[in-house]
Amino acid sequence: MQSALPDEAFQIRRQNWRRIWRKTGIPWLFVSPVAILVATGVLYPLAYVLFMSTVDYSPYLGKAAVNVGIQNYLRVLDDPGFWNALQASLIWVLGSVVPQFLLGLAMALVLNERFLGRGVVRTIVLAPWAVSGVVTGFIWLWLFDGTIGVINDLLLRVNLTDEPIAWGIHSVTTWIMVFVANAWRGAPFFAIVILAALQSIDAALYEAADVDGATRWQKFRFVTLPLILNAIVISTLLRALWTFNFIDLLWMMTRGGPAGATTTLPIYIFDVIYQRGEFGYGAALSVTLCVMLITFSAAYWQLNRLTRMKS
Amino acid sequence: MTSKRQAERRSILRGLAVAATIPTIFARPAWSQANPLKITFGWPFANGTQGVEELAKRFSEEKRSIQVEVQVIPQAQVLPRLTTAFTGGQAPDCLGMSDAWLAQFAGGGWLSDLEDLFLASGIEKELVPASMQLARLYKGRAYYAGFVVEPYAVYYNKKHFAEAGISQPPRDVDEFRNVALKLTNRARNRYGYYAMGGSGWQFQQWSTWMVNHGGLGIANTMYDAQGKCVLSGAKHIEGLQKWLALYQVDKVSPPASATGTFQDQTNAFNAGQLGMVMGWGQYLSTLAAGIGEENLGTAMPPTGPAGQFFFYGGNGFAINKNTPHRDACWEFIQYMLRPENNARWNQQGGAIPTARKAWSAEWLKAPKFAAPMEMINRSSALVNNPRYLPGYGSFQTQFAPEQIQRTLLGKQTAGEHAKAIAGALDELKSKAS
Repeated sequence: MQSALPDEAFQIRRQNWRRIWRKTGIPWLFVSPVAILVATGVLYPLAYVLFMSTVDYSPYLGKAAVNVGIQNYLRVLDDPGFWNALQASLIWVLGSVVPQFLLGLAMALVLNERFLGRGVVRTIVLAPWAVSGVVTGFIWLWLFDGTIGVINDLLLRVNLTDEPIAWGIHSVTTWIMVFVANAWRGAPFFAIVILAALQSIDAALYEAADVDGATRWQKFRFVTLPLILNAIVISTLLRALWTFNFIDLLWMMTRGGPAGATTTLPIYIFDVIYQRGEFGYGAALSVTLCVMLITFSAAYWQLNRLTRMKS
Repeated sequence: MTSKRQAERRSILRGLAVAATIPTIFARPAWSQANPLKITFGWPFANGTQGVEELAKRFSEEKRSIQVEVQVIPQAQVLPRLTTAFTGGQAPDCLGMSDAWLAQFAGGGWLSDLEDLFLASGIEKELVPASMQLARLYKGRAYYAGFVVEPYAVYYNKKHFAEAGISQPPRDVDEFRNVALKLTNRARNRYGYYAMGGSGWQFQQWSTWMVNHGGLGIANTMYDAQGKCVLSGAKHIEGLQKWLALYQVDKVSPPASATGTFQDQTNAFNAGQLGMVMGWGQYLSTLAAGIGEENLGTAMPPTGPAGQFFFYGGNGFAINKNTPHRDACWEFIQYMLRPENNARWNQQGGAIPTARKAWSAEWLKAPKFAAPMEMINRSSALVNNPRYLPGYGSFQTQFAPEQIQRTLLGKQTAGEHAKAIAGALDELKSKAS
């Protein structure tokens, strides 16, 4: 009997190990390739940028990296270029995302209706999303060209202006120019996401609203909107983050001008790293940008959660 | 029976071992024709890819022991792509290199010093001196072998000149203003000149007026003997004011030019809306295609009270410092710089070759090449602009455009502008030293 006890304990321990292995070991084994990929593809670069942000490293000067602690971060706070670029970034994000969302929502509501040739219209309307930022920039730059542009030509023909407007020399007109270009490209993204959400709404809900005598606005306000709110939140958040990090379209159209008015943070960081060659300081700017975006995302998400809980 | 089988097995194994050894014994060395040495060549320019690929193919066919693989690098991404490649040890063995990036990559310690190769091959005497000056712009050592050299010249529309009754291009700054005024007809959306303020090569335009009024520093640089930038002098400011007046007072330039880029300038010129523009020689073929070969004229930038000075630039071939195939790369570079090959590539793009012998080519005798070639030969007038300082790229593409845009749009005075520019160039110099 005495000799059987350790065996029993051994069996129990073995079973426990088996259970643990099945429950946690095997899943970890399956996800390990992805975990390794994520670690090498995401965590390593992140750690490297964090390390870079603590050194003074200017490879174009042939100098070795020198540890400077948090000096680069203190310099960020003191750098007027950073604050100007941050201001430009906020204008760029707000001015881009709001009209894109409104336009995308309108497009989705129209495309959700039944009409002849809806498939063709959907394809055409959604096509700009497939165009790259650089190409979009070129198209709109030429349309808005202050000397030979089509838009000026149209304005002159309909006598809305006496002479061609130099869109790119004033900050206000330059912002208008890039907002229009970005809305053209970005609105289809909102349209696609919201349209998908609209199509998942059960028609019975609208029938019930009809029975209750709801108006079109009431149906939109109390049936449609709550059911597409998730899609709106996610798409707005994604688009805001993308726009914040965007460089191609804006770079193509303005190169940060006039007089630095459209130099957003990514453009500024690009200049600091690759043109000035200040890799350490550029890394500190990148980390600051990343922290700001994470904070913004978390706050936006939390705000949405609280709003939903209240309602 | 068993021993017989064992013997058979042994003999089979012996046979297999011998068969396996034969290819090893008779294997050809790595550099033989059957197994040629492969080198990679990075091409980071938007133009001339086809010509380079053709020449690389010919070289590989001619020189069977070396095979060249051309890797095209998009010009817009050249700095991040090449910086990453060099720091990660993945850069091509040799590559095309602009003088605008040379200091950055040589400063990073990524390019091979070519002095010994120039000395051993004697190729230097076959290249135009201006190109060799560019090759040695970083700390006086040759880091590239130039294949194109180009001045920053004036291009004009002969048709516009004829319509305005102008018989020849302007020679000095006053004539330049008068000609630009005559060429301007705003009602027809026609302008005499394009005062470029956008990112790119605008610095070469307005600073031409500054240096032809105030002169240059030592060794044709923008620094005096004490190492201070000379551009904030009173005469320099006067020159800048005259250039600004073309846009602000005389209005001989389209309003949009204050933020316009080289591309915008080219588009407007080719659309027949500009009488004169300034730019690099590589634009010759584009401009000629736009307004017609017979309508395109070239001239030197105007003279000022302090003289006549020209900006110039070029591209060359550099070798990765860490390549194990330095000699093979140099062999390929020498092939590319043979007069016939150098002329062939440049003819396709309409640019000026660096090989002296190529200058006798028939196509270079066209009138449009006369002024640019004369400019390149006047070495005492060539501006040694501070692209030899690492960080100049940011000054040229971000800082200078922002400043000139502010000045053109009346947000700061010419004096403030000159002070800001001189301050930035002083800072660049102190950082580099």
